[in-house]
Amino acid sequence: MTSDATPRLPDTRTSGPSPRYRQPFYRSNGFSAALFLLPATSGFLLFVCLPVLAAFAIAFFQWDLVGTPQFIGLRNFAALLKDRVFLAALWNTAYYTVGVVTLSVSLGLLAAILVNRAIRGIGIARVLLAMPYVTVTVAMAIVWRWIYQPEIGLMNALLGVFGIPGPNWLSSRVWAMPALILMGVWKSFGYNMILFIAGLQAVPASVYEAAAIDGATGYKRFVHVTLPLLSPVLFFITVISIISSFEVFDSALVMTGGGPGTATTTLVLYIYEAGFESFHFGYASAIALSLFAVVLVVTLAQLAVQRRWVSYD
Amino acid sequence: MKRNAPALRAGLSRRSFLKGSTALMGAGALAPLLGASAAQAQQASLRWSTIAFGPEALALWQQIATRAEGLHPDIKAQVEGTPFNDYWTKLQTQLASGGSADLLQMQSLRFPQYASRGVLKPLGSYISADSGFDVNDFYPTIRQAFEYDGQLQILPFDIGAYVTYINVDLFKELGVPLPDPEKPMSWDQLVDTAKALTNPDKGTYGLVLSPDLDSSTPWLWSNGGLVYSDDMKTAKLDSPETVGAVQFLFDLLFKHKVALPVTDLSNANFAPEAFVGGKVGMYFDGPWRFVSIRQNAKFNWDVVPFPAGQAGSVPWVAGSGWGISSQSSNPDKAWELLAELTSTDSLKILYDAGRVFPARKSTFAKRTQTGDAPQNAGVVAKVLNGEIGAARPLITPAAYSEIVQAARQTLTPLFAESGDAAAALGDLQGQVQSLLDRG
Repeated sequence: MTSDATPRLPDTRTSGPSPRYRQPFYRSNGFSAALFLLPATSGFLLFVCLPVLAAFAIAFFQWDLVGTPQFIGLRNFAALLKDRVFLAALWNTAYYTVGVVTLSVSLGLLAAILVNRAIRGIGIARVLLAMPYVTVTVAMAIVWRWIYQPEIGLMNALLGVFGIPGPNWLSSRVWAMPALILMGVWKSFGYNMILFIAGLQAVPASVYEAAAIDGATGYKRFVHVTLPLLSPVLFFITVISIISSFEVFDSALVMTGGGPGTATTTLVLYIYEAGFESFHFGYASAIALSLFAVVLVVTLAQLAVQRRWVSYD
Repeated sequence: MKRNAPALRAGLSRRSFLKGSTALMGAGALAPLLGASAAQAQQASLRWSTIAFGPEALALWQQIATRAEGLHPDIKAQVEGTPFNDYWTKLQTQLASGGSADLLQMQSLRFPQYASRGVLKPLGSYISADSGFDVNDFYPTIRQAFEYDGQLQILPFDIGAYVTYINVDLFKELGVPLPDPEKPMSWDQLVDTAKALTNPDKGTYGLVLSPDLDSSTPWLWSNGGLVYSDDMKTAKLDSPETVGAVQFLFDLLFKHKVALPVTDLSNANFAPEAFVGGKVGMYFDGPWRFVSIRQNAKFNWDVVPFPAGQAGSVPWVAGSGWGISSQSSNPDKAWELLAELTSTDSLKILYDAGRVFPARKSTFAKRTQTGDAPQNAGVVAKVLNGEIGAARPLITPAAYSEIVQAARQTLTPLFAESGDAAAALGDLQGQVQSLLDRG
């Protein structure tokens, strides 16, 4: 209702706001909120939305960044299906993701259970375990290059203690990917551990007491009490880990450059090569779009099956 | 981290800062406006974008820029130095936003990728209009490498051809006679020399190989093989000469066992690092390695010609130079600056500082003699002049970086794990042919 509809209250405008009086838009809460949101929103639109939409569009063009883009419809996508490097990259990325996610989630959980107790100095242990997560990947990758050196590296020296002749990790088509997975696990399990610790500490002691009264101990208590109560955290960690593993790039670039052969060429590394080494930005965008589709499908599938095993009670 | 390193900037006057930050924002269209308001006199302000490995290199560029400004008072040269890897990314983005510098650096191996996109101005009209300019003073091989559609587009400053680096101390220690300083070794002589240098007890090897396509190409050529035909239409990787050359390299590694085993495929500096390590007698590369080997080798070393296969000693020639951006608003003045930056005396400053091997014949003749290794540097000039061997420019198709990538994926691993050279090259042949067909 507007002020015109209330002629018997002519002094409304000067007597301050009333529930029936609609303020001018520029004085409304909505307007103030919009003003406060403007910097972040415009940044988001300009630097996130626009590039993402542009990447979608570029995938249908042939463009070298300098000349005029040429519309070529779905030809970039058709070429992808016949590109054996792309297919190898798809396989490598899946291999890496399965390896890193299973190991870093289970190791993260194990570490969380081990350090989730009140012992003097346990904080130091937690910090040490979480440290790899906060170090710069490129710097660590250079250290790991040394660890994997066949003659002078730490890894083969350790294996040598047990009489195992270690391979030439990074220059072997068989062992290069496991080497990257190992480093990926080392780098990421600390983050998972922190989240699991938070989850474990949120489990009320009364539940454990009840379980103890019912006679559940050790393994049974873990499987039937801890794990279900931890399932929301577990679900979150799995989703996040899978997405970040799909995006692996820097460690492969520094450690192996995608080789030997195409043994460690991941999707994002291939996007980089297609765009910034070969100047096929349309093709690179098409790969990026495929990666997006894969991540979307995997995440939706996880959301679909989560109802069966994640309990929010 | 490394890719976002800010451009090194020489001199930070208010004006240059304004221009620099404008360029960084990619708002190239604003540059003339700022220039007009800031410039008091009729001085042409030109941006010169070049690769600088560090502050020392930048100071050297600044030195020849200042010299050029002194000789051409109407020109103000603004040096924009960028580290190697960042340079190419920056060039791409600047070109895309229309904000490229007036003068750009180019490498001969990457030149066709850019020239085919019309990034550079052909220099023919400037050269013919400039009576004092003698283009024939630049080595013909490198001029050929910087021509596109028959037009020279880059004036080179640095040039090189593959030679053999030898660890003189190791030869003497093992009592192996030094190779002839001017006459290329035959492949048989190379194997014999390498065998004499290989000593498992002392951990020494005859030579070290780089497992990439660029480094293998001189071996292919010296055996009469090719990566692709001269018209760049046909892949030649499955020819018997090419297969024979690669097989020879594999034999050095796995049959004669005189080459240091390649244990690190992803380290681009594996071979030079092994050479400066002092346990390897011979290493093959261009004079662009002089500086780093001089700094790192703790032994006496020298250079001799690249070995000669059945087709002779045929190393490739490559180089770097500067050209005028087709986006330059003042190409006439840019030419003046370009000609001065690549003059005999400018190149002499660069050579005497130990930075480049000069692309002008007159510079090498005027060089200041120092006691620095290699003593036999003159062999490079003779190779470039065609007096020794049959050096050729490495002229690359537009898809060259993808060809190198395909070779890295198909051929490179075999340098570490052995395997069938013919099968790998047959596979690579198909990949390279389809890249050449695409154009």
